[in-house]
Parts: sequence; C-alpha cells; structure tokens
Amino acid sequence: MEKLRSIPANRRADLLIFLVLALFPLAGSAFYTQLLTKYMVFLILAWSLDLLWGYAGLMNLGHAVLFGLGGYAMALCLSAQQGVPDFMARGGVTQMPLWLKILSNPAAAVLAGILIPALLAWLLGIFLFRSRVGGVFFAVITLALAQVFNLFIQSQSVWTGGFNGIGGLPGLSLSGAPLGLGQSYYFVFLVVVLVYMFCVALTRSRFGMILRGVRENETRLEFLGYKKASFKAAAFAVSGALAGLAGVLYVPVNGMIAPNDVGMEFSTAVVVWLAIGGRGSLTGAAVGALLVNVLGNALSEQFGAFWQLLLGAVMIVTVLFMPRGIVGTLMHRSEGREKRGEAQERG
Amino acid sequence: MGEILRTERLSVSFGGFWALRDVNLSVDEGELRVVIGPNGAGKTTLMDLITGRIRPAYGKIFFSGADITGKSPDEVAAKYRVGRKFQGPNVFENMTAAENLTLAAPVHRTVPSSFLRAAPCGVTEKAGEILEQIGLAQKKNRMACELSHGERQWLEIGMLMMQDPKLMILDEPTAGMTESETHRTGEMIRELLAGRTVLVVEHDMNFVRQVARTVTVLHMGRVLAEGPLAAIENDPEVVRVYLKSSKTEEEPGHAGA
Repeated sequence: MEKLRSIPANRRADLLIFLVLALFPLAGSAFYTQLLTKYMVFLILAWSLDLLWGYAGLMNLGHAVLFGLGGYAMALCLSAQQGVPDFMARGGVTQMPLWLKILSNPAAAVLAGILIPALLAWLLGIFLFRSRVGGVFFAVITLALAQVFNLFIQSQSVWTGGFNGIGGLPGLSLSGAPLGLGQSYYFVFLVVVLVYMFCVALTRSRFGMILRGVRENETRLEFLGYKKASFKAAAFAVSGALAGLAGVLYVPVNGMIAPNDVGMEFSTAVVVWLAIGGRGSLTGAAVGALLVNVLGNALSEQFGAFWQLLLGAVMIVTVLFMPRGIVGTLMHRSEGREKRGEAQERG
Repeated sequence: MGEILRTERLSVSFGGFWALRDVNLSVDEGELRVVIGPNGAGKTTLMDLITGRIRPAYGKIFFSGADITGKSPDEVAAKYRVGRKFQGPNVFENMTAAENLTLAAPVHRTVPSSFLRAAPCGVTEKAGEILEQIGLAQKKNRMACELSHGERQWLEIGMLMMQDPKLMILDEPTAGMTESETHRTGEMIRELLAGRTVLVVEHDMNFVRQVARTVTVLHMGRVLAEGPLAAIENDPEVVRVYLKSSKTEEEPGHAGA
C-alpha cells in the first residue's frame, strides 16, 4: 500500500485506465471492442503529440501527416499483397514498381511506416529549428504542411487512391494467420502498453527533463550549454516515429485510410484531445483521446453533426477555465492540497 | 594566477549607435571583478558579447587563450565553460528547484547521451548540497514559479554553481531584492564563490562595497576607469558621471519605497 502511494497520482490513473481497457472486451459488445481497438491506436497518436507539445512545447498542427505516412505505408503494403492493387491498375499501372515490391513485405512496411515520418520530422526539425523558427510560426508551418500533404495524396491518385483513399484492407494478422476481434484488441493493447512504458521512461530520463527545459525557457537552456535545435529536432523525430507507428496500426484496424485521416482536420482533432485532456503528463493525452472519441461516438449517434458544435463549446470552456486541461487541473489541485497539508503539519 | 578573459577593442553598434567601443578588459583567474556604470553604459551588452548572444562589429574576445569571438552561446557555455546569470531571475518556472539545478549540471548535454538515460549518480547529491547552501533545501520540490523573487535569484546562482564554470557572469544579481536579501546575496557571493573567477554587473553601491576589490567603470560604451574600489570612489570623473548621478537617482526611489 505504501508503495502504491509513492507512485504519482497520474501514474495510478494510468494504471486504472489500462485496467479498464484490459477488462473491457470481457464485458463489452463486439462493436464497441472493435471501436475501442481504434481508440487505443489513437492513444499512441495522442502520446506522440504530447511528447512534442506537452513536454517540448512545440505545437504541431500537422501531426496527422506523420500518422498518415505510417498509415499509407501500411495501406500500400496490404493492398499490394496480390500484385498490382486495383486502384493502381485503373490508373494504368501494369507492373509493381520496385519500391512497392519492397513495401509489400509487412516487416518493411512497418519499418518504413515508423522511420519515414521520423526522418521527415527530424529533417524538418533541423531545418526549422536551426533557422530559429519557433512558437506560432512553427504551428503555422506545420498547418500548411498538413494541407500540402493532403492535396499531394489526393493528386497522386494512381499511387494513393486519391480522394477515396485505400480501402477494403484485411485486418491484423500474425505470420499469415488473421487475428480475431479479441486477439486484435489485445495485440493493440500490448503495443499501447509498450509505447506507454517507452514514453514514461523517456519523459523520466534526462532527455525528458531537457525537453521540459526547452518548453520552459529555451534561451536559458542554451546558456547552460545545450544545443536546443538538436533537442527540438530529436523530440520531433521521436514524435514522428510514434505517430507513424500509430498510422501503421490504424490501417489494419480501421480497414481503410483516406486523405481525411492525414490532413488539417484530423491534425486539429489530436490537438483538441490534448487541449481537453491536458498536456505534459501522458495521462491527460490518454484521457483526452479516450474521452473525446468515446463521447463523440455516443453523442454523434444522438445529435449527429451537432456533436461537433458541442465539442467546440467544450473546447472553448476548457481553454478559458481550465487551460491545463482536465488532468492538468486535477493534478494542480491535488498538489495544492498536499502542500497545504504539509504546511498545516509544520505550522 | 594568469589572465583568463581578455577583450581587445571590443565594439558593437546597434543601428549606428555604438553601444560598446574599443573596450579592452582583462580579468585574472580567481578574480572577482565588478562592472559598474550608468544605465545604457553597455554593461549587459558586454556580457552578451562574452557569452555569444551577440557578435561584435569588430574586436576580439579571448578566453583561456582561445579566441571565442562569435561562438554560439551553447558552445561558449559547454566547451569553454562560461556560466551566466541573467538580469532578473531567469529560471525554469514550471520545474522544481531541484530540477532546475539538475538541469544545470554539466553532464549528458547531448541528445545521444541523455536519451532514455538518467543523470549520472552524484548529480542529485551535488544538487542537494547546493540547495542547502543557497537556503532552498526545504523548498526543493517547489516549482520555481512559487518561490519569491529573491529565492529565484538565489536559485539561479545555485544553477551557476551546479554548472561549475571557469568564469561566472552575474548580471545584476541583486536586482529587485530587499536590503536584507541584497546583503545576504553579497555574503553568498563572498563565501560560496570564493576562489572562482566572477564578473558581476551591479548598480547597488552598498553591494559593490561589500564584494568588490577591482572595479571597471563603463560609460557610454567605453571604459572610463578601472582599479581598486577605493581609488574608483575618489576618481573625480567617475563621481561626476556615475556615483553622483546614481545617488541623486536613488534618493526619490528610497523616498518612494
């Protein structure tokens, strides 16, 4: 019991979330189990943005681009299992190009889906941060990037399926054997737990502390002997790798990917999850991603598109009255209570 | 002990205005040098040049024999080991006092060395010692933003001690402090930084008297005078441009407070 108390409050909340997720398929219907599999993939995406925005203070409004690169790598892989995919054949492609042959190997697709977004993020980071682009300018550039990427995907319809995206894809399988609903769920759950452990280790390490230093006062950090651009680019790269991994998992879970999943709209959605849940604790990102998606699903059944308006209102209320987000506000309050308690004991 | 810092004809101009012109400064190892001068004399500009925040129009800066003119702030800090305390507390606000010190430790300062790794053992102990010395041991888990103004100034001095530089630059370490806090800071600098090479920019003459041996007076971007404090205080030129004017400036301020 003592040991449990020494764990920070938000880590205990994380354990509770994992417990609920681990038990859910035993009680929930097949429909919701499938839905929650997808939302668990979004947890990885939310954490990947939290590392960048919550810890390093870099707001990426084009996060779905990194997610999309992973997703499209996996979608191309899955669609090329039986030779030239239909949408390419319609565009006049008769032979598999070499890169697609390579990508049709699932292991290669997973690697590409993680490394390509990481590399893109790193290069972009080196370029932007060395030229001292920061703050709102970084956000605007990434926003533009999201739009450009979305248009690019749509324009290259021969290779990307264009506006319709790539659909009809098979679900998760391990060494050729397709996984059932529950198996898929627990496979994703396992990946989520591993990613979570990685994120906790990273944020607790000296690297994580330096990222918070970047967020708090990057000039001060520079005068302590740190190359801030390297750390920001590295944070961007790690974030890109995890976002790519989320994309890789998303495609077989969702069965399709389309330009909508990689543009400005979805990028903004991820930002909203974090703004509502709270940044810089990992817990807030998880709570935000789950809450917004679960509620969104339930409420859009009731209210249809009106739900978007509700979400907008919730967003505004959070930003105005709880700028730390739900989890951030709760943590701040409990810390304040602990401190008052200490003061009373002493006084 | 020999010379550790030397500037040669150091000059910088901002849009045609010479903020510093032909400044030759020499600081010996282990020396505590105070730089004084009226507002706009170029004191902070001089510190900005030494730590690489801005580049000179011409002139050179030598540190430990190496030419560090135009090097980036992180290189000046990491490779040449020059530490700087900024004007007004400049700390990591939403991090605890202990974390502020840990981050200042001159270890694992690159991406590969810090990635998924903890700070080497010894850093926490060192941080604990310094927290005791700067009087913040009881508040080590407080966020910097919850500390008082004076405590944050001390925290930043502690960060500098943690950084363990060969040259410490303190830009107005007592700015905004009460009289007793100022005195305590003076004691802190005398005791904790004894034997270190320290370059202090200060306005408060009581503080200067408390800590200084050698004083450099800057005026309108040039070195007006340099020497032992007693000689400086009796230099008619210095009295005319600085000491007298700073006294008349101080009077209404004291009346107001």
